Amino acid sequence: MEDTALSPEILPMRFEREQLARAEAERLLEARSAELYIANKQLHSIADQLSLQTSQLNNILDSAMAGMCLADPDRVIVRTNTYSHRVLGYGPEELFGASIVDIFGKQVVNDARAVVAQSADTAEQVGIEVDGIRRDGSIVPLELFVTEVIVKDRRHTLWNFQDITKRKALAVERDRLEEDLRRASKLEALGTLASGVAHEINTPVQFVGDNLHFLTEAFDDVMNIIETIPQIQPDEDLEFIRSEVPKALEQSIAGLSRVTEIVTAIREFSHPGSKEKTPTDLNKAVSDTVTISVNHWKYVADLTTDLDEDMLPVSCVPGEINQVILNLIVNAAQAIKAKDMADKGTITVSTQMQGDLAEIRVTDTGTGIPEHVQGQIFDPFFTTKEVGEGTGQGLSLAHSIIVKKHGGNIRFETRPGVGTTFIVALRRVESANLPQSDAVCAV
Amino acid sequence: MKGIIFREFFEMVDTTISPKMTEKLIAQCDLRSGGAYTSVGTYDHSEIFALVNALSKETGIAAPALIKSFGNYLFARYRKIYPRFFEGSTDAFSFLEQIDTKVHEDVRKIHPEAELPSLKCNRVSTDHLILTYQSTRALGDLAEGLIESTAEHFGETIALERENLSSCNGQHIRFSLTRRR
Repeated sequence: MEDTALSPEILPMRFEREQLARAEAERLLEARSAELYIANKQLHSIADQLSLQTSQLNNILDSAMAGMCLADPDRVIVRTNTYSHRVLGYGPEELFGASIVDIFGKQVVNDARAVVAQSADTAEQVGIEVDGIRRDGSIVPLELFVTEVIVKDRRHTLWNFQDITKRKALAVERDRLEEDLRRASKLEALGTLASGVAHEINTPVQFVGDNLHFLTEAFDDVMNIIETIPQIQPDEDLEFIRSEVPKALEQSIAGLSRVTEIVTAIREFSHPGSKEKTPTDLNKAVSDTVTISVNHWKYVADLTTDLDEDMLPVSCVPGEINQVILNLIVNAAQAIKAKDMADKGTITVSTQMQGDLAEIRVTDTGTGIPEHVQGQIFDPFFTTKEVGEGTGQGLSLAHSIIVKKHGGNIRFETRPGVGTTFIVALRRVESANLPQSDAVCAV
Repeated sequence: MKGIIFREFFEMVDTTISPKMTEKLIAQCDLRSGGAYTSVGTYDHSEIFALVNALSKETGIAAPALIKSFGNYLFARYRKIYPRFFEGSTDAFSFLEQIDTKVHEDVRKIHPEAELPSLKCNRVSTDHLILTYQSTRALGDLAEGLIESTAEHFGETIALERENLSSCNGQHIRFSLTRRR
C-alpha cells in the first residue's frame, strides 16, 4: 500500500477541488433556501386559505337551518352542526363519537340504506319523516334526508334533518279548519234547505188548520141539529161521538199548532237576517232556539225555560245571538250525555233583566268542567271531545260574538261532577263595553 | 448520483491505496465535474463508472469486484455517519426490510430529488428473505457488498444467492438470503 498521506504536490489540486465543491455547496444551499422560502410562503398561503375555508364551512354549517350529522362507515358521528345540538339537546362536543343509531334508532338507520340507494338512482332528494331521539330520550319529529359522501375513499353518510314539530301542528290546525269549514258549509246548506222546507210546509199547514177550526164549529152545529130531530134517540154511540170528536179535533189543532211553532222557529233561525244590530226579543230567541234544537237534548235531558216576562228588547244581531244560545244548549246536552246517567239530566234556560243588563243563563246537570281545562274552554279549537265529535269552535265562537261583536260578557260557574251554568250578559243599549270576565266561579 | 458517493469513493481510494492514485484517476477520466464533488450535490452517475473502470485498469481488479468492495466500505461509513438508520434493528433481515421505507424516506426528506434504488423484501420464512434490487444505475454489485456487510455487522452467517432478472446486468437482481444458525 502506498503512502496515504497527502503530498505537497497533491494539496493544491485538492484545495482547488474543495473550493469548487464548497462553492457548489453554497450555491446549492442558496438555491435550497430559496426553494424553502417559496415553499414556506406557499404553505402559509395554503394554510391561510384552508383556515378561511374551514371558518367559512363552520359558519355555514352552524348557521344552517337544518341539522347535519356526518357518520363514518362504522356509523360513528364525526361532524355535526349547531342546529343538530340544539334540536337533539346535546352539548357542542357530545355528539362526536356517538353512534347515529342513538339519534335515529336501528330501524331508521337500516331503512336509510334504501333511501340512499333511491336518491342515488333517481338523483332526487328523498325525504322521510322519522322520530329523532333527544339526549333526554324524548322524541322529536324530523324530516330526514340521507346521502352518501365519499371521504378519503371511505363511504360516509350525511344525515340532513329538520324539526317538523311546528309543521305537524299547523297541519293538524289546518285539518281542523277545513273540517270546520265543511261543517259550516253543510250547516249553511241545511239552513237553506230547512228554510225552504219550512216555507213549503207553511201553506198546507195553514189550510189544514183552517179546516180543523171549520170542522170543530161545524160539528157543534151538526150535533145541535141532531138533538132537535125527535126521531133520533140518544144512545151510547152518539154520546161517544159527541164527547170524543171534539177532543180529537182539539188535539189535532194543538198538534198542528206545534208544527206551526217548529216551522216558524226554523224559518226564524235559518233566515240569514240582518247583520246589523236591531232591538231583539231575547225570550223569543230562546224559545225559537229551544224548539229547533230539540233533537240535540230530548233524548238526554228535560229542558225547561224560565223567561223573564219583564224582558226588554236588546240591541243585537239576532242570528248571531241565536247561534250562541244554540251552542250553549248543544254543549249542555253533550255534557249531560258524557255523564252517562241512567236517568235524563236537566237543562234550564232562563232570562232575566239585571238593571241595564239582559242575562241569559243555560244550566245543565252534566259533568262540569275540570279545573285543569277551565282556563282554555274559550280558546279556539280547544275541545275535550273525541276527533269527529266537535272542532272546539262553539264556545270560542260564542265568546267572540258576545264579547267582541256585542261588547257583552260571557262567563261560567261550574262544579265538576255536578253541572255548569253559562251566563251571557248583554247591554240593552249601545254604550261602553262590559268589563270582561270569563273567570270561573266554582259554586 | 449524490456527491457523497463520489467523496466516499475517493476516501476509499485514498486510504486503501493512496491519494496519488485518487489524483491519477481524476486526471485520467474526463470528468465534467472535474472531480470536485460536494456531498449534497447531484452528479452524472457515469462518472463513478469511469472512475471505477480507471481504478480497475490501474489495479488489475475487475470492476464488479471493486464495486462490491466499495459496497463493503460504504456500509462501514454509513454506520458512522448515519447511526440513526440502524436504531431499532436487531438482525440483518429486519434492517434490510426497512431500508426502502424508513431509510430511503429519511433520505428523501433532505434530498427529495435523489434517485434511490428500489429494495423490495419478501420474508419467505424466519430465516429466508428474498430481496429484489432494481435501479437504472445497475449497481447490483454495490448492493451485494452492502448486504454482505450487513450480515457481518449483525454477526450472522447468511448464504447469498444472486439471480439477474434483466438482460442489463446489475439493474434488476433477485437476492435470496438464507440465514444459517
